[in-house]
Amino acid sequence: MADLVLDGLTKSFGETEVVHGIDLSVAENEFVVLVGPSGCGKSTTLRMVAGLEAITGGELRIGGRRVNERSPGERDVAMVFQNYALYPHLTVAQNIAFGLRRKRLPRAERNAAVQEIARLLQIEPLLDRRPRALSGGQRQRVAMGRAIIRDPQVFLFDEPLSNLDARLRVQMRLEIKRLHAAKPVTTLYVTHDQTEAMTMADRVVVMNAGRIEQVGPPLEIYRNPRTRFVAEFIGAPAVNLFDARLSAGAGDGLWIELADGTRLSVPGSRRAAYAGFAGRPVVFGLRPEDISIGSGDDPVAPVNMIEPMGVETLAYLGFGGTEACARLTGGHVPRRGDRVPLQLGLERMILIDPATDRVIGATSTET
Amino acid sequence: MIQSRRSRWGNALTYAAAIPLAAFFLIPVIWLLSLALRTPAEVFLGAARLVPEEPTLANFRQVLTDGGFRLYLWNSVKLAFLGAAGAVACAAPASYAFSRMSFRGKPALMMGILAVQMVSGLVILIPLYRWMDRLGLLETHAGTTLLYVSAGIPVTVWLLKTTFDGVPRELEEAAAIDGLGRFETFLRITLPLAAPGVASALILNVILNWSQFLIPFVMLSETAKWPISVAIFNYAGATNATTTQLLAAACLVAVVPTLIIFVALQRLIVGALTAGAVKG
Repeated sequence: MADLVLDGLTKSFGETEVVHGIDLSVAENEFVVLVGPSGCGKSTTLRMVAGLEAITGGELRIGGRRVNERSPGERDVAMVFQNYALYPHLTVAQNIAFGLRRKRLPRAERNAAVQEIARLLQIEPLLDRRPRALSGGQRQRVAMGRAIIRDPQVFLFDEPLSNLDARLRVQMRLEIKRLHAAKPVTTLYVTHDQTEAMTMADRVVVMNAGRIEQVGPPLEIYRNPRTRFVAEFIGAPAVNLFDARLSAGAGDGLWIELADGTRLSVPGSRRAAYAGFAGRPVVFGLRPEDISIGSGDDPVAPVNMIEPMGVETLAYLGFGGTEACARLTGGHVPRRGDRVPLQLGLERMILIDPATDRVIGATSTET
Repeated sequence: MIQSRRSRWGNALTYAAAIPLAAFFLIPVIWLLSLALRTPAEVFLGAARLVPEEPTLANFRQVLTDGGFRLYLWNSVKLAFLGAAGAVACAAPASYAFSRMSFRGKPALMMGILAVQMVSGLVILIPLYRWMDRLGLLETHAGTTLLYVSAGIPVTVWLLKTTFDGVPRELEEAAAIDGLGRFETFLRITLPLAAPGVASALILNVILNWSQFLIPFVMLSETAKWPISVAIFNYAGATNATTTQLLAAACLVAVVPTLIIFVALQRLIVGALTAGAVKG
């Protein structure tokens, strides 16, 4: 086991720099997820760590040792690929044992190791099959088995669940997490799926256009995004954003004025942070679960569309000059066409400076 | 109904085109078979009687029991297979490099290799002869094999490149992470997965080498070293009416191995030749 440090890692293809200096330390046995839209450089970053892509600039250290120039095999990392990359001409057992090749174990010891891994992943009956005869989920397990058996310093996952159907994805997600709890290894996991990032990570790294936007524990990222990109990318359904203007009221009062003329009072706890922006345009953000059905004197909005999800219902409301999504739970569920009073959880609001796309007063500064 | 009538017309047209084409290639073979089954006397009847009155296998018996003929066949087998194996062995690493590595001038080099194929052997025959003489390789099977190898390399490089292109890169990356070096990866992962393509390249080379005439004709003058193609030519040169039936039988015997190979492995060969062309 070892820690993993990316120190100003850059990658250029020809003249074009696609990864612009990634600084990240992954502690021993920590599970870190790189998440971002396709083309944000997360996979390239992972491949640089694996040694499949040459590092253009910066330094990569595994267990304190610089490994920039080491071959993938010498770095002692294991990787699970998106398409599993199982060797089609070898059986499941041979595939799993392949990673042990370099360790030159006696046959009996190697077989025992394969058996143990097969038991752990519940693929014992499949050991004599070839990858062709396996389902997607089974292939996924074999790919993980091949990686785990090596007992590597660092575990790398490159979108390992994106080829599975939705149900299996949820199941494998849980299993990877369970496996990590049982056999902790320093892990770097790449995905474009923010749900995977939120549910699996000790820490989430949100990437955009070859840069890190924010690093932090999932809930921290969710609650205190530092940029508009992070606020919009993390969370499903996405955060509601409204063009607005901040205006000073009587005393130290601050008001958010939405495009449709709705005026919302900024809670006292936020006033100090926002005061400097009084009189300026801002983007006001509120997560769907922070909008609920209110009572008499709350602002009223028409219900445009309803999506019942079982436990909760998503209501799309005409509000703030645009459409807002509310995540409603429990008792009273409105119907399409109703006009409902809205209770807004303003103590959890975010405010974005449209000039910089940064969240005003964001506290999280960790990288 | 309309559909089926239309398809029947389509079938008819296909046959109308295919039958003359098949006849074009088959009639000489049938003629050869007819001659090979005749007694010396019947040969004089020429085309007047296609099916011999007294068909005989005596010609085949004589050809197959003839020690010289068996030696020619063996020479052909040896040269064809060694040449094919050599061509594939030399072409495989080159194809792998063309498939997997990026370097300057790659497309030009690929075209250059193909351009070599465009030069007829006849053009370089005399310098080649003098050169092989200098090297002391005239009259040797080693020298002849070397020329077979070099003749086979260009097409084999192209063929194998397409094959290697079809092996997913991710598998090699997985192997690299599992600690294999490039050569070991090539040997343990890429080559086994490319086996069908490699096999058909081998077979294709064997077939091409089997029908190779110019190289052995120029390189080998000692009778005992001739492959079947050269032997038949010299046989034919010395022929008179009394040996025509034997020559026909010899030709058929010489053609049959390639025919068998092709029919047996047809799907493999066609598969390799069209790989990449239809890959989704």
